[in-house]
Amino acid sequence: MYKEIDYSLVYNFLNPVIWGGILIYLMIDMKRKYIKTKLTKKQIVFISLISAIHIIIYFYLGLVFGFSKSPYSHKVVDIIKNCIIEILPIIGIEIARYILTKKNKNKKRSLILITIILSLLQVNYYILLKAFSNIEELFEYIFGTFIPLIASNFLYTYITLKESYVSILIMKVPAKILELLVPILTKTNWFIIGSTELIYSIIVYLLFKFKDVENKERTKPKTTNKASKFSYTLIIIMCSILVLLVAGVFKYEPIVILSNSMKPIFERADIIIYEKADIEKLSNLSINTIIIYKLDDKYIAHRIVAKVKEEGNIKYKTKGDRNNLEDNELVEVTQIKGIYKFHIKYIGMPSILLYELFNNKSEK
Amino acid sequence: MKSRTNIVIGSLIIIILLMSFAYSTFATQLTINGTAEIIGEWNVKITDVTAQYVSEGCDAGETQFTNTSVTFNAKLFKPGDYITYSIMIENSGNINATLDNINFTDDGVNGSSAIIYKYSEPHPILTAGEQTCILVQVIYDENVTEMPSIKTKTITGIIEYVQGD
Repeated sequence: MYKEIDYSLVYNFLNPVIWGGILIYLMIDMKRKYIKTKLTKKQIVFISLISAIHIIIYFYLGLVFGFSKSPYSHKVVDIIKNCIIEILPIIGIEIARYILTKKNKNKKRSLILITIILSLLQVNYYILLKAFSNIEELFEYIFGTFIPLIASNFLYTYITLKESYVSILIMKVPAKILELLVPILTKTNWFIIGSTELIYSIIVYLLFKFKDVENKERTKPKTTNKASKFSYTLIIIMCSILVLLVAGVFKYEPIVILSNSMKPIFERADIIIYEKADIEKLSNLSINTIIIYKLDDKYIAHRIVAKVKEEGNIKYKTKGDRNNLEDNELVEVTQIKGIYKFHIKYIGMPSILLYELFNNKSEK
Repeated sequence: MKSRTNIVIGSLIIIILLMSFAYSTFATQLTINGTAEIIGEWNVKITDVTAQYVSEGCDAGETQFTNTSVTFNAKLFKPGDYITYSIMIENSGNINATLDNINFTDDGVNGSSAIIYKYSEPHPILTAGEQTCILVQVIYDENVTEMPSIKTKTITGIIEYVQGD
């Protein structure tokens, strides 16, 4: 049923018109009630730095994962049209958030409700409804888009309470304009984009928290918050390293084991860490090396038992330590993802549970 | 303040861990992503590639695809054999898209010169929510008289859409 709705009409026309109308009403309302919206120079510099960091992180991810041609049209008319379509709702949402949060600043439940409603207004329901047909896509949508969206909206509500909607606009509008103008966009996936947005939201939240504490300490006796600053920084760094490790940015990459074919070296639910290697190294592997290779959609970690040369190419015969027979097909160098280094016992159990829940297609 | 911050940090760790476990379980594909604002969503991608028809004794091989590219490894045996692959492309975002580039290349001298291919043009305009299909026919040239030693061909296609009017 949802396919019959013209979503481009919603995006191109209804969304900017509705938010434009709300914006005009709110501007008049704001003037009437003399709501203070000015920021100090220090606040502007601070929030601009945060915005710049966001843009730098986003494009830095491109250096790691690669760039792709931007799908946005770069004709002047289209750029103006895109700016109106994209930025008008942002301004409308943020001014609405500002007025609603200021009116309910001491009502915790109302603030939570306002944040959730404003988040829901930004959801692409076409994608959400489509994702319901596939549990894997639904999971990816929830964790890659929905939760980061909710987290960033809670952050925006928090900043709005502390400062003004102008702070949020400084954070969001330049990033959006840049996205519409630059000819390239970062090539990445739901995990990277979702976790980056989450970590970024937490970092900004902590920066505001500590800034707030420091401001209060100027008037009150000093309390030590160095230890908590250090522990929070450490947690953020560890989360970032975990994300980069799982995403395969480093030379070493983890993979979850789903079968017992290599028992007792490693078994189901263990996580093995393998080293990515170049073609030259992979062409000169010795017998007994445990390799991780891809066959169809599956990743297999088995031991090399023989090396053969076929049509001038090096190929490997492999076997699971616990299996009676060697693997049917010879493994080509191009199929090999890496060389086994070490494993960690049982920590892949949540992945196994998810795999069984989703009955995923790829067995690792 | 500290306990509230701890709850926020704790939630972050739990979500990141859950995402990490899920990511290491799922097969992943790279997509183009903008920043977190999702009012306008670009989501045009290849959703499925299947071998619709395979002549008897031929092998459609492994097909691989990303959001914008597809690779087939066709193995054909005798003149007249053919395999038809269908590539489904869907615009799941809310921005209308126009075909910018469609280009198929093969593995040249590493593949069989007797194997040729042709493809149908997809819809040049893909409005939000619309799907289109490209049919790629890989054919063992009927006019070939010699039996070549290589009977396989790897074909890679790139299909790129950009924002339409």
